[in-house]
Amino acid sequence: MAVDKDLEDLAFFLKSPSPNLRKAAVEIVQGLSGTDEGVRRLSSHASALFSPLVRILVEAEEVSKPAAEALVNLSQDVAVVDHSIRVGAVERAMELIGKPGSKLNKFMVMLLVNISNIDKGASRLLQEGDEKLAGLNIAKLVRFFSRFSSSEVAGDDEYEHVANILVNITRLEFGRKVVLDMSKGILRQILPQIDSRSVVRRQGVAGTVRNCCFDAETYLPSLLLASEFLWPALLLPLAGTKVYSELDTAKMPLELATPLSQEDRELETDPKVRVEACEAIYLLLLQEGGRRAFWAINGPRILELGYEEEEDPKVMEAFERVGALLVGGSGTDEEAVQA
Amino acid sequence: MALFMPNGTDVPETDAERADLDAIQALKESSAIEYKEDGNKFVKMGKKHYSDAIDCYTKAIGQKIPDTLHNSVCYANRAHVNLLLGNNRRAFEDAQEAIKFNRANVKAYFRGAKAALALKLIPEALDMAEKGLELDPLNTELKKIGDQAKAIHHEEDAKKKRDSEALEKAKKLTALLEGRTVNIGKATFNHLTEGRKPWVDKSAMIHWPVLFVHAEVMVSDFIEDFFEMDTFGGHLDINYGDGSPSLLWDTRHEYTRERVELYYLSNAAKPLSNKHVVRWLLENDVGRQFKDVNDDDDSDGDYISFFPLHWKRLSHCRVVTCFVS
Repeated sequence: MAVDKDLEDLAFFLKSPSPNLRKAAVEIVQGLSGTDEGVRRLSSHASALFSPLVRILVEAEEVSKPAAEALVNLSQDVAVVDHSIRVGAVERAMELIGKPGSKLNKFMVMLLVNISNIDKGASRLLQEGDEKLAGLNIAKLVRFFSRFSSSEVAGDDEYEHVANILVNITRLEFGRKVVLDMSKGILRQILPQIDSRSVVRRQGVAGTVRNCCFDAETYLPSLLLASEFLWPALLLPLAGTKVYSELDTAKMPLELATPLSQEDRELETDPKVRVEACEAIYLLLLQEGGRRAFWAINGPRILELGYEEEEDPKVMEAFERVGALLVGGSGTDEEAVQA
Repeated sequence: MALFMPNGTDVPETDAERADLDAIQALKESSAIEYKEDGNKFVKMGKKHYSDAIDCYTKAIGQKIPDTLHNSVCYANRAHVNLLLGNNRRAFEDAQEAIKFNRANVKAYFRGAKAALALKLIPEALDMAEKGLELDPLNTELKKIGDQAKAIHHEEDAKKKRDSEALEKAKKLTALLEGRTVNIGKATFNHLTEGRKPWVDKSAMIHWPVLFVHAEVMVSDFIEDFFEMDTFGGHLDINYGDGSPSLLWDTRHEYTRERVELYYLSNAAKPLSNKHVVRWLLENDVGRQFKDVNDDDDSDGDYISFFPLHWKRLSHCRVVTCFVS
C-alpha cells in the first residue's frame, strides 16, 4: 500500500506547477527506472506516470533528459509500451527527433526501438493503414541514420539505434514493403552502413536485409536492382582476408573486384553480422533469379574462400546451409562450392 | 367501281357501299393467296425462277390483307428465297417481319437465325435460335444453327480475352521498363532476331534478346535469354571461352575469349513513347514482323541524334541493366 501511495504522489508531483518539485520527481522516477524491480513497480502506475513524463520532454534539458531516460527504461515493459502507443508516444517522439539543438535524439530513438519491439508499436511507427503518410516516419529516420553516421560525428552516435528500429519493423510484412519500396530508396541508403565502425549499425543493416529477403519471392527486383550495393554488403563481410586472384576478380563487378583485390582488408569481426549475411544470401538463392544473379558475379567463389577462413561454428553452419543450395552449379562452367 | 379508297373517306353509310367494300376485300384475299401459291411454285421450279418467286411474295404481301398467319408465311417464304439467293440482309429483315406477324413461326426463326449467322450478327442469331427452340425443342436444324452461333461467340470472347491479356502484359512490361529508365528505340536487326521481344519472368525480372554482330565477317550471334542480372563477361565466356563450340566462320580461329572486344553504339535510336513501346511489344513474334511498318512512326524520317552517337567499349562485366539505360 505504501508503494502505491509513493507512486501516486510521484505522479502528482510530476504535474506540479513548481519546477523544482517536478525536477525532483523526475529524478526519483529516473532512479527507480534504473533497476528491473523499479521498472516493475513503476509499470503498475504506467497510465498515471507516462503522460506527465512525455509532457516534460519539451522542457529544459535538466528535466527533459532524465525524463527521457526514464521513459526509455520504462518502455522495456510490454504493458507500458501498450499504454504509450495509446497516448501517442510514437508521434511525440517523431516530433522531437531531429529538432535543432535537441539533446534527446538518442533517447527518442531508443524509445522507438522499445516501442517497435511489439507488433502494434511497429505498425504504428510504420503508419500502416494511413494511405498518405505510410512509411514517412521510417523515411525520416533513415535520412538521419545515413546523414549522421558514426564516421562523421566525432561524439555520440545519436542515430545508431535506428538500425534496431529497422530490424524490428521489417519483422512485419508492411515494414518489408516500405523498406523495399524502390521509390523511397531506403534500401540503398542503409546498405552502405555495412562498413560502419559501429557494430550496432552493421548488425542492424545485416538483420534488416535478412528480414527483407524473406519476401525475396515478391520483391526480387527491389533487391536485385540494388545489386551494386547489395552484393558488397552481403559478401564483403564473408569474403575473408586473403587477396583474391585476378582470375577470380575478372568475373566480378568492380564494386566487389576492387575491395577483394586489396591487401589488409578488415575482417567483419562480429559473428552475428556474418550469420545474418549468410542467411540473407540463402533466402536470395531460393529464387531462381537470385541464383542466376549470384553466379553471374562469381558469388560462389567468394563463399568458398570465405568458408576456408571461417572459424566460428555458428557462421560455419550458416555457410554450409548456403553451400547446399549451390551444389550442382547453375549450368555454367562454375565450380560447385564444397559444403 | 373504285378499287382504292382514299384516306380520310367517310365510313360507308349505305348497304351498297358496304357490299362494294366486302367485294374488294374478298378480291384482295384471293389475290394474295394466289400470289403466294405462285411464288411457291416458282421456288420449286429452280434457281432461274427465284426472282419471280420474290416478286410474287412481294405482291402477296402488298395486298395487306388482315390475315396475320398468311402474311407471316409470305415473309418467311421470301426470307427463304433470299437466303437461297444469298441476300442475307434482306432474308434477315423478312424473317423479322414474319415473326412480327406470327410469334410462333418456327421456320421464320430458323431462317432468321441462319441469315444472322451468315451476317455474323451473333447475338441476333443466338436470340432467334433460342426463341425457335423454345417453340420446337426437338428441331435439329435450329439446334445446329444455335450451336454454330455459340461456338463463334465463344471464339470471339476467347480472342477478346487473349487480346486484352496481351495488352495488359505489354503495358506491365512497358511500366517496368520505364521504372528502370530504359529507353527503347526502333529495332534495326529484326530479321536477325526473329522479332523477339524482352519478356518478364514470374519474379518480375526482365530477360532480353541480345544480338552480337561480328562486323568484320557480317555474322551475328543471337542470345535468346540475357537475364537482366547476367554479365556480358559471362555470355562471352559461353560464346568464345574454352569449351565453347568452335565457330564455323572463324576459319583463322581469331575470335578467342581474350581477343574479343565488345562495343555498343550509344544513342543509336530515338526513344519511343510508351504508347509506341506497347504497340511494338504486341507485334507477333514472327510473321507480321516482315510486313512494312508504314504507320505514323516514320514521320520523323531519318533520325538525327540529339546526343552524339558513340561507339563505346563494354567492360566485360557490365550488367545489361546498366548498359541499356
